[in-house]
Amino acid sequence: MKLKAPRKHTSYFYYIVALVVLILVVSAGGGLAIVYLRQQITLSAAKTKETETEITSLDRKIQHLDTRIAAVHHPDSLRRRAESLGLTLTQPAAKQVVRMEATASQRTWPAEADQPEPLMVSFDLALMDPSLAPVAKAAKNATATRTAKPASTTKPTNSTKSTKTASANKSKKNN
Amino acid sequence: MSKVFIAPWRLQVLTLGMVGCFCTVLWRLADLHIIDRETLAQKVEANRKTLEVRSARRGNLLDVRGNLLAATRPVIDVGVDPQSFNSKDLDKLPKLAKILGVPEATLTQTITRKSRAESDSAFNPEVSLLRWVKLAEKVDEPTYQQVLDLKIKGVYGNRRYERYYPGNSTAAHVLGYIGYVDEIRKVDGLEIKDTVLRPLMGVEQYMDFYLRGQDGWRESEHDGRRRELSQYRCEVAPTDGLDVELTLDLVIQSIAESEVHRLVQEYKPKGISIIVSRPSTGELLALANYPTFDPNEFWKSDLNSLRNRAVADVFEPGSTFKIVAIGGALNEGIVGPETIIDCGSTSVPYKGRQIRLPKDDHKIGQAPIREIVYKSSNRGAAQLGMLLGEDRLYKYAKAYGYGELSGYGPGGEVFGILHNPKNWDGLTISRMPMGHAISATPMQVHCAMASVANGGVLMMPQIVKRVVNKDGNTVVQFTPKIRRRVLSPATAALLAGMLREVVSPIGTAVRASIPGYECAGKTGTTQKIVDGKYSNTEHIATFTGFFPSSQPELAMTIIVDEPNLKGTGYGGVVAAPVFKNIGEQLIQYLAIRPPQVDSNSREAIAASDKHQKNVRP
Repeated sequence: MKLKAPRKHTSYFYYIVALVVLILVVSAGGGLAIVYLRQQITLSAAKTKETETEITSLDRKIQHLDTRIAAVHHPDSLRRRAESLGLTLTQPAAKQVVRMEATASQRTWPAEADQPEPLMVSFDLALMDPSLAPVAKAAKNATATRTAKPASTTKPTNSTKSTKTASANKSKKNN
Repeated sequence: MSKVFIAPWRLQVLTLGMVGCFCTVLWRLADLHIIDRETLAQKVEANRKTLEVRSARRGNLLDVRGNLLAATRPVIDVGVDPQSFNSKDLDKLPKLAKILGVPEATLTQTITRKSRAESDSAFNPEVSLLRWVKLAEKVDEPTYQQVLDLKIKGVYGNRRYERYYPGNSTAAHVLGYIGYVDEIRKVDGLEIKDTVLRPLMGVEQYMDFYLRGQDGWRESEHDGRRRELSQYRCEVAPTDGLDVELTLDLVIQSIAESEVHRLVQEYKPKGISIIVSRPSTGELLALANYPTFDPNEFWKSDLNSLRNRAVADVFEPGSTFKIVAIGGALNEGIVGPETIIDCGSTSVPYKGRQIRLPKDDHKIGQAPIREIVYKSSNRGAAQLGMLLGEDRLYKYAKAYGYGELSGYGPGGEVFGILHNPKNWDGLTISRMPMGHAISATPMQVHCAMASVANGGVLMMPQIVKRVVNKDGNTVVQFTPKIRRRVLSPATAALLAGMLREVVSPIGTAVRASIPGYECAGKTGTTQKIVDGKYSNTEHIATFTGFFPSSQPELAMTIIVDEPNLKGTGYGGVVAAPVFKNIGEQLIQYLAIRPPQVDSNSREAIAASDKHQKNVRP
């Protein structure tokens, strides 16, 4: 028995049907994808807008806070606040300030005749070599110097402790 | 099956009717799409699309340490739409009144009033419905949130941005302010008047180019319910203004203003100017004036208070001008510090005629130049002016910056008066060296003294340090500018040494001395001209100086106009203590170290300190 050859038009038919179906699927899929994309774009835009609004709102709050902080930090405002709290805050007086790099030959505070000199030695030198300044001796020397000579003519002595003690005494006095 | 007979005429009528209908529809379509296309399309576009201008935020003004001096902040004007207000919310009004700080009765009355009569005559009354009535203005964000939390229908706010100066009147004359001005713009040949916000004074105006930024825009579409379709947004973001950092220091400014306040309490003067600067760079650290104003509410102050007296007012500099004649004579080598001048004679010959010399407060007799300086001898200064001659005196006055703008950027500055020698009368050569026959601004007096402190180099006063962006990066750097050399370094040092004696027990300004520091300066007590005569009761007290004199860190000028006190308001009595008070605080704040001095100077300072202690009240 001789087999019949497949009919050509039948295979073309299925081929065309398949193509049409594919085109329809792709078109429908594409259409849906476009709709989906547009929806996502809309959602993203809405979210972006929301975020932007939030950022603007936060930016406004930051600006408001910045100005409030600036007003509160203003020296006059701080002074008023200190007064309202009953704090007796004052700037340190010149004689309360000890300058670390100062040497004995430098003048670092007002030389008032009735005030002992708080700084009598180079701080850096004294700190580097504590053996130069025996505690008790230094304090004794400082007291002796104070009673013996006026401040402006006091000669420097190599004493760390004396410096610290004198500074502390002065600070107490000033406070 | 039935057959329907249709008469031919009926068919024709029906056909014609249908064709007519179609033609009408076609005509309408043509009308909409072709004839009225443009107009209608514009309407549609206008309804669908919106174009919104997005305003740029104005940059901040900062001090040298980054403290905020001026900023833009959002404020809300809260109002109500009486038509939308629901009477169910009446019980929430007490809370609203409390939040807004408005009397409850006023609030209730405002909200319940729904219309307003708009008529220019009683016979023709017109009533309009109120759609928005302001309840409170300049409400801040947290307060507005509290208002919103009440959920009162019809109560809402309109947000706007305003310029805010956290320090209120601090450095008001330097910062300036922003106000509404009328501007006319032309559109299609028509003149339209707009009321717009513009900087009107100070750094706000001077640096407006950097501060204002650039507006942006946003175009978007709306749906039928006027909801924005954000996916169609198209926008150009605004470019915010840049921040401007000034050379001013908020703390120093505050210290200067505290002293102004103290002076006002003590002497009730007409006006005060205090200038603090770094002589080496010309950077202004503080500039305070009295009377002053609050830039947040500048409209409440009179015009007199808005004027920056430090650059806009002129006065006769008095003895502070003596540094011109003395510095000039020293610089020209005509005299030395020990040259003796006869200050006892009442007149001297000059160019073939006898010139009468001005009076001295205290008789001096023959004295060296340095004594003329520390005793502020008028006769000595007059003779030094004569030794210089008209042309050289004028040249030095010009060189010190008198009679010309100092270069203070924010403007409002005046030239002062310095006449050309050809216009001088016979007495000017003897009067100008003591600061008469010349008018100067406080800034000119300050710059002249700062030039001595700066080794004889006159600097331009600098108020803006740099322009920075949001990240703090420098966009524009402003550097110190030298105007000219006035004196040689040696002469400047010599003059500074002489001026140091002014602030010593033997000088006129011992009250300016700061214990432990060498200060230099010059007092001035100017008699004001009233009705064409020098008044004996109205004075301007001046002190201008610098410290430490050997390595000047700060220059300071204090001018007090008409201080009220018993006796004469001398510069050494009224203005000099201000120098000391400010200087002492700045030593701690700026950590100014005392200069290295030799033992002789140390003893001299000690003596000065001791004397200073004795003159303390």
